[in-house]
Amino acid sequence: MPTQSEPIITIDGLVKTFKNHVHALNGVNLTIHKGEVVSIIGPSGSGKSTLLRCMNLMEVPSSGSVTFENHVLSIHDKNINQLREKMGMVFQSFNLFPHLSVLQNVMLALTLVKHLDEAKAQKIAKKRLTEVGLADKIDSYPNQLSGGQKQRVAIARALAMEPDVMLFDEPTSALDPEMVGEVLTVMRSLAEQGMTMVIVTHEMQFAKEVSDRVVFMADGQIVEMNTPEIIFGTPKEDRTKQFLKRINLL
Amino acid sequence: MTVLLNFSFLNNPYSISLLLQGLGMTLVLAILAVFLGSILALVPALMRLSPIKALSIPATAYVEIIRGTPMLVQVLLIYQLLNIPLFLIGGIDMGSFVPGLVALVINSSAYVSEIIRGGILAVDRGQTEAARSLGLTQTQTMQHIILPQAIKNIFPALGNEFVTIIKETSIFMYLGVAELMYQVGILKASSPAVTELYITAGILYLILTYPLSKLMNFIERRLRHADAK
Repeated sequence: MPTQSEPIITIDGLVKTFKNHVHALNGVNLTIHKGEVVSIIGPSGSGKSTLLRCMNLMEVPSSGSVTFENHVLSIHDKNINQLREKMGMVFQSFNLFPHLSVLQNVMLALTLVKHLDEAKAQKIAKKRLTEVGLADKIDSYPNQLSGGQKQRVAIARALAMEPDVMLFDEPTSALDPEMVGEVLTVMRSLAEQGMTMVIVTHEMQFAKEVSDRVVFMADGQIVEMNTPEIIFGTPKEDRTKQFLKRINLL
Repeated sequence: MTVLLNFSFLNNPYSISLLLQGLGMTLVLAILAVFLGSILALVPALMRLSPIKALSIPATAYVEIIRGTPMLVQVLLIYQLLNIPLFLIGGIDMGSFVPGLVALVINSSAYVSEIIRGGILAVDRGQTEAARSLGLTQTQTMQHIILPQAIKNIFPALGNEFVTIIKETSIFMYLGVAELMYQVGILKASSPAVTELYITAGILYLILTYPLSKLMNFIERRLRHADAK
């Protein structure tokens, strides 16, 4: 288990309160290490997506800090765009750009953010799309694709930036059941290649198989975190047991 | 009651030419107003969307004041404030044309800014998040992701604004700008057929606005179709 390797994201005392006074996160501490695959599970409303979205400041924390590769993240920091570029994010609702073709979706940030020339960007984009099995779809538009294909494009788009960590926010929750597999396959091969991954998911079987560590959250706090064997086999906390019982995993 | 309508003034080339000149002026004013107004409208639209209050509050005030006061008041006030002396360019008195156009552009910009703002807000928030997560700046996100999608929401409503502005140019008769209603006023003085003149004016406005509405519907369908390809 690669927990001894250096930390890539360190979250310290993270609190997030929304405008409507909902306490989404109540003091979360978590360290993600390089090469590690961490799954975050828990009942809906437990703050798992908020935690993930705080990691690249899609949500700005109310207090506490997020440190990424030795930089304390701040939304006012001029470097925030360069740092975000190093953190690929995959969303539940794909968020492909509907006015751009599949190839253009993947190329856009390569030209705009990395300032690569057209030919180079196209080469990288094609390579990434081939890796997710969509080489034949490069000229399609997002609304011509199935949900599973859309999500694979979204993964290719994030990977094209060569991120140091990939953040997955319920990547299969909006998919028809028959499409979940193709997305999980791509994610699994990514994990095998040693990518650092943080995955918010309801796919317990998948979390069990690919994770180095599983974090169980409830009520805006981390209740328990451990290896998947322990979390899914012999969890220590009652909240974890209750949750796993309710979804018939214990 | 029998109403006998007499459209005999339509046989008079002089009346016809006056009416067509008026119609031309109406169209020129409307096109200039919507074009310049749309460009100007980007300023209050983007200011209102800003989280910085020093930007959003003045823009909101601008939009609310323009939308909440009659156009006639705006036109007369700006005419009064600009107070440009009479001088002619291409036979048109700029002393009344310029303040009239300025008033129309300002009025149009307030309405169009709301159309633009609505169009931008209608783009899913996930689009911004995806773009920002890839490292795009706020400006790049607006330019490459949000605005190209917002255009599809904005364009049809912009057509409606064009139709409205065509009708509102009639207010310029108060300034003596030789648009359609002004010419009707001139003909009215020498013709007993007042009802017929007003009917003719109405039909002429309709000739401008109806095809425009149809064209906008067509473009809207094309844009949707392009989306569904």
